[in-house]
Amino acid sequence: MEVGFEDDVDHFQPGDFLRCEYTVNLLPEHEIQAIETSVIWVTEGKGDTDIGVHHFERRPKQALTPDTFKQPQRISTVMPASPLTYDGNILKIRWCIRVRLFLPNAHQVTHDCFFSLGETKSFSKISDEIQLKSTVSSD
Amino acid sequence: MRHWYMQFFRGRPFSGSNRRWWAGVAEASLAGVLMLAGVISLCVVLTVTVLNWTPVAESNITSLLVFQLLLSVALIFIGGLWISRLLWHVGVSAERRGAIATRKSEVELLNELRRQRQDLPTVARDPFPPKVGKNLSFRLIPSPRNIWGLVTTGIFSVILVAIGTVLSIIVADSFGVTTNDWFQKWQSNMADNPFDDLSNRPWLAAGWLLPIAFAALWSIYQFFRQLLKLTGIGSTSLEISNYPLTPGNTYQIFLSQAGRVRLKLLDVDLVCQEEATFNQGTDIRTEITNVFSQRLFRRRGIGLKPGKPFETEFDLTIPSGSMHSFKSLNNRILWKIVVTGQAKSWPRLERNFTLSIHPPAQLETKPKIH
Repeated sequence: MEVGFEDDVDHFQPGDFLRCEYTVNLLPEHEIQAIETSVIWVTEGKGDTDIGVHHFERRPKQALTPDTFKQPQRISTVMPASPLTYDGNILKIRWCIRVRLFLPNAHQVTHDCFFSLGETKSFSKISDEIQLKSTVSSD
Repeated sequence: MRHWYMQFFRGRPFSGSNRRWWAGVAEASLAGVLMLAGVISLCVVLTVTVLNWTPVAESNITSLLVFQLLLSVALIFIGGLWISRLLWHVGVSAERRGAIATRKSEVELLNELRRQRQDLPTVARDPFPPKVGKNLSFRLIPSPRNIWGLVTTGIFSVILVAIGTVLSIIVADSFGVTTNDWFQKWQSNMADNPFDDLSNRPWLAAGWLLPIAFAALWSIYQFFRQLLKLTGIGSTSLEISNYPLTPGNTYQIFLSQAGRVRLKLLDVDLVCQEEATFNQGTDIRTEITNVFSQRLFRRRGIGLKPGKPFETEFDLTIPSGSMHSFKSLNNRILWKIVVTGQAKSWPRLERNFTLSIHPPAQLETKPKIH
């Protein structure tokens, strides 16, 4: 399974149109029960994981034809204003496109493709910038 | 009641604000004494009843006993209610409430804030949304002060005073200080009395009484200290030129600190915290860490006078590129302004004002296609 962004752009701003494509390379003996695609944000770090679903689409077995996997499938959505991607001390917020394949016998295959939303700096960098500014102004 | 105090202090060498302050202190003290009297009275009544208990049930519960019990409970209830009311009203002046009420036209600003919040579901909602300001556009609402310390100390005091009262009666009775014959009656009738051991060994009761009396006095001192901490140093008011805030922008802040003490130091800081809640075994734990702190204002030696609060203005810049406020089920990014003050012989002053920092760019009407 491969997921790729259009023009290889994996950095978006709030309000941008996110477009990506995924391809599933199936062997003849493979049988797909359903495919779920979603655009989500997840928290990582010390706290328990939270997930926010921005876009979700489920295609059941009936909606899948043999041609479905012959060409790339497209996901598109307008990105929201928040939450922005964040890399903190005990908390990180990451955005990703998740494609989940449901196989027979309750087996699942998941693929995450991470991207960033907005431009936030780490607080250590911000503190350094403020310190630099104050040093320059005092000089 | 406060009006009565004000009348009492009229004509004495106090200014209007001084009279109000003393009236508040007197009111708080009277409420505390009332509650304490109720607790002591209840303990005395219950102890005497237990000691005088006879097998004939009719002679135990008299109408006088019921009246004494009701009176004690009423004193505790009224005192407790009074203290709660004092705490509820602390820090909000009638003038400020009046000023807000007359500026209804500016309520539109607050409606705009509510609309913006709906567009940003993960941006932490203000637990205490700002009100219309008097000097600047918005007045920030401080987070409620932690009254659990006061409640805990209060409960602790009541328990210690109750135990102390019971022990005092037993000791006084055992050493023949009281002329009543409770002890003899108890000895003949109450073989299973819970105070059996102590009554038979008065020195043991006396030995316990001393540390418990000290502990009770200490807890009462701590209770009033907590009460003064919450009510003593006057209210802190912060107003801001615009709200909500966005990174990279500068805002004007108006600070007003009321009170009647001399502050050695008054600091105002902008703080950002990360908060993570997680399961550890069967416990749910929350870790809070400060990830950013910036001093906005510092002044030493501020003399606060009644009716003349310390007022100042300064700028607040939310650093460009910083993360917005965020809240999910188990994680949070919290921005706040922390006002801290230190005065001689007073507990440390700390007031928190939560800020709502929005992402720099709002959702555009026409999406940009890459």
